[in-house]
Amino acid sequence: MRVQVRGFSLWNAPEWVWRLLLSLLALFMAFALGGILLISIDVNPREAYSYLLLGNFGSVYSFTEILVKATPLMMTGLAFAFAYRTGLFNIGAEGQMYMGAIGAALVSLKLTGLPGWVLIPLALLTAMLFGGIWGGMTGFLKVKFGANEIITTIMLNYIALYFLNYLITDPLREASGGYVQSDTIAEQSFLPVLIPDTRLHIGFLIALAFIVIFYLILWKTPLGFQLRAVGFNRHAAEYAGVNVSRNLVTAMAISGAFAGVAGFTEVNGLLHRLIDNFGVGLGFDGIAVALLGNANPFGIVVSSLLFGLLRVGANAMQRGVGVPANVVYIIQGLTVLFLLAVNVLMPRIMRLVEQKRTQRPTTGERRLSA
Amino acid sequence: MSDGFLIALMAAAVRMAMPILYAALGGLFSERSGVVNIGLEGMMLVGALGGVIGSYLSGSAWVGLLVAMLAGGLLALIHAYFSITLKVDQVVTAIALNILAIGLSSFLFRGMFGITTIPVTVDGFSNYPVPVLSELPGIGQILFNQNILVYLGLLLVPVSWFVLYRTSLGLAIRSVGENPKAADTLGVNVVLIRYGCVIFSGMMAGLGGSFLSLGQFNMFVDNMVAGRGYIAVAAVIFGKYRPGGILVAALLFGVADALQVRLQAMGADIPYQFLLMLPYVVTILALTGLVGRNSAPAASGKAYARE
Repeated sequence: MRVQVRGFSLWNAPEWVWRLLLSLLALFMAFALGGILLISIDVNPREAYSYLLLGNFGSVYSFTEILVKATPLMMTGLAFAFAYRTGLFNIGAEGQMYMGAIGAALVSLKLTGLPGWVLIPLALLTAMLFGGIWGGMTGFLKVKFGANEIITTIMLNYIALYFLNYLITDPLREASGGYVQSDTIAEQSFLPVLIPDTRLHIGFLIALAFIVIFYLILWKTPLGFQLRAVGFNRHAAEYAGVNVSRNLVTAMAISGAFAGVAGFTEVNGLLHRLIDNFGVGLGFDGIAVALLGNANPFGIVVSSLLFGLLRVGANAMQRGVGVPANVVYIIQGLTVLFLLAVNVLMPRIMRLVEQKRTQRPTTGERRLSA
Repeated sequence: MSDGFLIALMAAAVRMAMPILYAALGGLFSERSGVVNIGLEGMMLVGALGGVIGSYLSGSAWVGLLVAMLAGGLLALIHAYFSITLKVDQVVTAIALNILAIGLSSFLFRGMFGITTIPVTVDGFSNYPVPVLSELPGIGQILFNQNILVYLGLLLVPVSWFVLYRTSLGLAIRSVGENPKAADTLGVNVVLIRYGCVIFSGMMAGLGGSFLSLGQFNMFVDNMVAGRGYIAVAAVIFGKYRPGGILVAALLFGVADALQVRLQAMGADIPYQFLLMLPYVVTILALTGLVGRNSAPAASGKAYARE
């Protein structure tokens, strides 16, 4: 048989191109529905969206703010995606992030005698350790007692939040006793700023490095192979001799460590102290980031940048046309919902594509896909 | 601690337990039918807003209550469509809905009332002492000098029990949650039961949300539910998927909350944060089966497809 199609044809595009197109469709539908809502309150959606999407490309500072916001989202997105690849739901990135922040802050507050090049990596490692323990605990409770990880992670979010609150109300309270927050961390533990007069710190590059680490662990190590096997089919993996229990705990620990890094970048890069409730919503936003990015490292980079853009753009929009910044949550929530719906359609669409590709649809298949 | 302190504390605890109790009783039905509903949080939030809008427009808190139930029910309908009809993951759907609810409630509130710094207050439910019973020493103040939504919430506990365990509808709900295939074979409409239970859970969560906005604060504040929906999910598990257990769980959360408010106000040198942690720790223990047996419905979280 002769190959019919010459040159580029959409029908020959691999599956990931279709996924990408459908993700864009989901985004478009979310924006469209958001636009209808804006019209309903007499706001011109074109004007509002130009503030939302383009409002932050005016100056270097406002552009770097996008990257600043994207940094923790990338890490909490990675955290969710890593567990997700192993077939687990880590809803606890927020708590793991708080534990990471506590770890990073403890090191950066107490070991003031150390030079920055020791202190910063140490803070990072401690944050990963704290977040990893918090995540690993969920894995342990799951394999040992069968405790559903979704609920345990949510519960552990609150426990971490109250623990953080306790630390800064009492043992780590700033020396002056003024606000409920810790002292400023040692100056040499501040993450260096990448561009002068902006808040963009090397935490952004660290997060990008973890994107690569995420990819390497999952696709280039035997451990990653096992983890993905467990995620693909837990029972089959067990049958093939994989220690599923150990892998589940490991996956949750690594996932928690990723989230812990978000705590580190926020404390050492941005806040320079422990503050109550500093990352509210970052955990859940990370889930949206991971889902939009299809739990794929490159996808997570793109979607975290997009959500970072929406987050800062929302403030520009609020200033510009008086629409509350929280509107981006509508777009974010709708995007995920449409994405889920589109994913349901995905197998059907791929079947249709397959038919077009072979150019010889049998009547039976055609009826199925109709 | 004086008696007066204890009575005031318990009365506050009962009040603070109510939003959780409503949402958790709704969540109980959803869970029992086999659909995990982490979306209670968002449904409470739109309920809180719905209550304020309804009460503002009509001048009647009762209309507010209806609007709250409608709002929660609508969000739950989306949850039902995605998790039952589309068979999408129930947790992910619910999280998307919770994110959506934060944006939507804030947007609609601003859309109606403009961006204002002066809080919009509406008619809410004030205390309605039950004749005779409210005169009882101690217990009268705690249970019978509350607003009408408290009485309704407490009444719904035995009603839920009765429906679940003493009616054929309850039997159908429980069987759908335990073994949908068998229930289907026996002629129970699995999809209909699940839709009904999820929508009911949204209406109850909406009621719980409106308790916050109409029964406690008489206004809407962005994200005012602040995690109570997740606590309700925990209360269902901690309460062992039974109405009585859920009441106990909700009261435990209420006591912890009421106590920490007072400890903070008194400036007591007790780390109240550990008190606040306690219910969450206990919930984890309940999940592990260390405190009694884990009793989740067998088909919980699984979409049902006929083969």
